[in-house]
Amino acid sequence: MKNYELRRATLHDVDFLATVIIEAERSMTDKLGLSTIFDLSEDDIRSYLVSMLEEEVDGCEISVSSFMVATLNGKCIAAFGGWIEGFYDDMPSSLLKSNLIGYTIPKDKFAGIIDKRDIIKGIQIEREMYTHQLEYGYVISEERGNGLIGMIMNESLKSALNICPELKKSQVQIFENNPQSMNAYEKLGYRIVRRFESTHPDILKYMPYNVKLLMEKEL
Amino acid sequence: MEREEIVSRVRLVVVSVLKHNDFEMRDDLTAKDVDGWDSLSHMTIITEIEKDFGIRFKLKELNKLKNMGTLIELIESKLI
Repeated sequence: MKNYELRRATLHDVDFLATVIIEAERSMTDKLGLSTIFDLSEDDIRSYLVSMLEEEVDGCEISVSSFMVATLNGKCIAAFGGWIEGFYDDMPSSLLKSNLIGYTIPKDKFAGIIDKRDIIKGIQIEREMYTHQLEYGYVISEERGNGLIGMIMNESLKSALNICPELKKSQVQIFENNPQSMNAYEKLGYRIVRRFESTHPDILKYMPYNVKLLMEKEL
Repeated sequence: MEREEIVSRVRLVVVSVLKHNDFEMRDDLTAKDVDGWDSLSHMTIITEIEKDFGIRFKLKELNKLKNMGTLIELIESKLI
């Protein structure tokens, strides 16, 4: 058994967290939604993600404080974002994320994005307030198959329950083209509760897949 | 600028972005109450408000916005 360590992410981890977010967003395809929607290169997205993470906003998927990381010999090898939806002043994470993106990405990149709303709206899942939310899980390829995602998810949930013992649900969203993650989550007690599909003909130009699943675990 | 004018101009921005006027401009209005006010439209609405009023919001200010009332107050404070 390898000597993995789990800990909360810090500002020192932002470069790794940017990689985590990019790889998780891609969902094993070459489509990076942030890149396609805003017509930005991956390098630009990476740089903007680092800036957003450095803002240290709490309570959404682009928050350093949301992430639990796993390390091996001091090197980051895996991470998963987790937070309690609406914990900070009842602000939905979608607005916190939207404010971060709107504040960071150059305004000239917003021309025409409202037209892309119709393309992706079928797979936008509203997060339930006061539930444990998980987003952006990633393990470097050399360390896959060792149960790291499960370890991190459990630790994230344990941490959330310490802050908020009355939590009733933990939820995670994944693209349907990721059966490996689905199986891993099912083994941890998560089950599919809803399926969201975009039938827009251009969806695959912007997103890795046209179907998202909401998986949930009762606590 | 009078509060009424601010409210009126914000309403015009929201209508122009969302392409409908199926909402009432009241202080306790939130994004959830308005059809189509999602994360992409939120970014656009905020950007258009900044352009329309010639102001720039700080990130901390945006993250404290609870409802339309607090947005109007914030705009008022930036126009003094």
